[in-house]
Amino acid sequence: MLLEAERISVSLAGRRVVNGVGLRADAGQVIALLGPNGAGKTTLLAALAGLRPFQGAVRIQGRALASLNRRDKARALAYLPQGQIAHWPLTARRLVELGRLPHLAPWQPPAAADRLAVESAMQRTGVADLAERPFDTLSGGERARVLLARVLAVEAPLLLADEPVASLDPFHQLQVMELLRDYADAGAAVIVVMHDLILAARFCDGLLLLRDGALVAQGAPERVLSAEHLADSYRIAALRGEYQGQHYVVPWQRRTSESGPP
Amino acid sequence: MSAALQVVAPQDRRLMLGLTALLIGLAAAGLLVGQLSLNPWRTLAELLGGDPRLAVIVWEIRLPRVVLGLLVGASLGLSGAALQGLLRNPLAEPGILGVSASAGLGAVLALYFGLAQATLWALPGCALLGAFAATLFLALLAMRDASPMSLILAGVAVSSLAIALTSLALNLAPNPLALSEMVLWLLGSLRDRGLSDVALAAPFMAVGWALLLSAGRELDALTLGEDAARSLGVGLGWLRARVIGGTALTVGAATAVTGSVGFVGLIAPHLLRPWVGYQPSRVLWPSALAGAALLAAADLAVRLIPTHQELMLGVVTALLGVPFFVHLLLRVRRTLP
Repeated sequence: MLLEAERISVSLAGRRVVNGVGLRADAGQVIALLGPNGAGKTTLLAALAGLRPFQGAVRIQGRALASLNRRDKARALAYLPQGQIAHWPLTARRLVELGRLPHLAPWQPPAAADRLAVESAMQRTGVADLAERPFDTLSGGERARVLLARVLAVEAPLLLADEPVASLDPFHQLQVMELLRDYADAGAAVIVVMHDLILAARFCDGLLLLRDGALVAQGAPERVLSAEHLADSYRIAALRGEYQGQHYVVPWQRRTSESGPP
Repeated sequence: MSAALQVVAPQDRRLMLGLTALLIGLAAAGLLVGQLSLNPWRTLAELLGGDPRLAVIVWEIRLPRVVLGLLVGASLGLSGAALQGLLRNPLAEPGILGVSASAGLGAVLALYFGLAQATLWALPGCALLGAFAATLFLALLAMRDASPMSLILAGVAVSSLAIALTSLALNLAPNPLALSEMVLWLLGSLRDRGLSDVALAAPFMAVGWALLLSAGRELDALTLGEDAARSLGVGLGWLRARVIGGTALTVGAATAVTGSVGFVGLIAPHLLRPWVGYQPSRVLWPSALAGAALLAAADLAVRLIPTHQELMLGVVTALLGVPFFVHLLLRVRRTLP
C-alpha cells in the first residue's frame, strides 16, 4: 500500500475541519477527494502532505510520515496547492525546475537526470513552447499546466493535487486528467481534490465524498456518486447515464427541502 | 537550471563582471579623487612619486571610508534582496524589520549617557546591542507565527518604538552639543571612519552575508508560496531565522559604524531583478554589488559636492532614493502582490 491514512483529524483555529477520515491508495490508483465547499478536502490533502498538524497516522510506502525528515518527505510526495501562486514572474522553465530541489544537496548543481525530468514534465503538460515565457504573461490555463509540470518534475511516488483542473478549458481538463492517470499507471498514487463529478467518475479508481469534515462515502465511483449520497453531501440531484460502459453523472438541479427526486 | 543552484549562474556572469568593474572604478575614484585634486591621474602620479602628505590622505583617510562604504552598501543590498524574497514583498527593505532603527537607538543612547566618550567601541557596540535586541524579539515572533504580514507589522512596531525612544533621548538631550552629535550621527555618514570601524563591522557582516547567501534556493522555492515550498523540503523556521539573523548582523553592524543609510537596500534588488529573470537566488549577489556601487557613488558625490558643511550620506541616499523609488513603483506596479 503506497499511502495509508488512518483516522485523520485536523483542527484549524480550534475548529475541527477534518474528522476521523481514513484513506488508502495503492500504486497505480487515482483517488479523488470530493465534497461541497468547506467539506475539508483541501485541509485533508494538506495534512496528508504533512503541512498541517493532524491527529491520526499517515504512512507512505510503509513509513510513518512523521518519521521522515524534510528531504525524504519532499522526495516521497509532491504537493500542488490550490490557486496559481508565483510571487515573482519567473519563466516557466525556472518554475518547473523548482520541482527538482528535493533531489539536490544545498550547493549541488543539477545533473542530466534533473534536466531530463524538467523537459519531460514540460513536454507532457504541453508547456515546452512556453519555457522562456515569464509566468505573468501566461493565461490561466497555461499557468495551471506550468505548475502541474512543476509537481510532475519532483517524480515522487505520491502526488497530491488540489483542484488541478479548476481553471482549465475542457480540452486541457481532459489532458490534465489523462496526465494524472498516466502518472498513476506508471506506478504512482495520485490523490486529487476536484469538483467535476464527470471527470472524477471517468478517470478515478476510487472516490472519497466528504461533508463537514467527515466521510460520507468511499469506494468505486458509481457507488459513491449515488443519488442518495449526492443529495446528502452536495444537496443536488444529478442526471445519470452510461456511455461505453462507463457511468457518468451530470449535476442537474439543487435540492431544496420542497423538491423531490428528479 | 544551474541558475538557482550555483554561486553565480553562468548567464549572470557578464552582469557580475560589469558590476565588479563598476565597483573597482568607483573604489579607485574614491581613493584618488577628492577636494584636493579632481584629477585622479595626477593624484596617482604624485602618490607613486612618494608624496608623504598624500599617502596619509589616501591610505589613512580615504581608504577606510571607501572600504567601509563598499561593505555597508553590499550589506544593505544583500539583506534587502533576501528580505524581499523572504517576505515576497518588493517593498521590504532592511529598515522594515526595525533593525536599523534599533541600532540607531543604541547609538543615540550611547551618546546620551556619555558612554561614547569613554571608549571608541562603546557607540558601535551599543548600536549592535540595539540591533540584536530587536532581532531577538522578531525571532521569537517568527518562531511562533510568522506570516510575512505579521513579521512586517512587528517590524513596524519595533521600528516605531525605537524611533519614539530615540526622539525621547533627543528631547531630553543634556546640551545642544550632545543633541547635534546625536542628530548628525542619525543622518548617516562615512566621514572620519577608521580601519578600526572596518575591523569592528566586518566580522559580523561576513557571518551575516554567509547566512543570507545560503538562503538562495529556499527563497526560490518560496516563489511558489509557503505550502509548496515546505512540500519541497524547505524548513521555513530555519529559513526565516537565517534571513532575519543575517539582516541583523549585516545591517546592525552597518548602522553601528555609519548611522542610518536608507533606500540602498530597497533600490538595489529592484535595479537588478529584471536582469536575472526575477529569480530570488540570482538577485542576491548582484544586489550586494549594486548596493556597494550605489553607496560608493553616493559617498563620492557627498565628498565632491562643494557645500560649506559636508552633506550627510544618509540625506543624499534618501534624496536620490525617493524619486527613484516612486519611478520604480509606477513601473513595477503590475508585479506587486
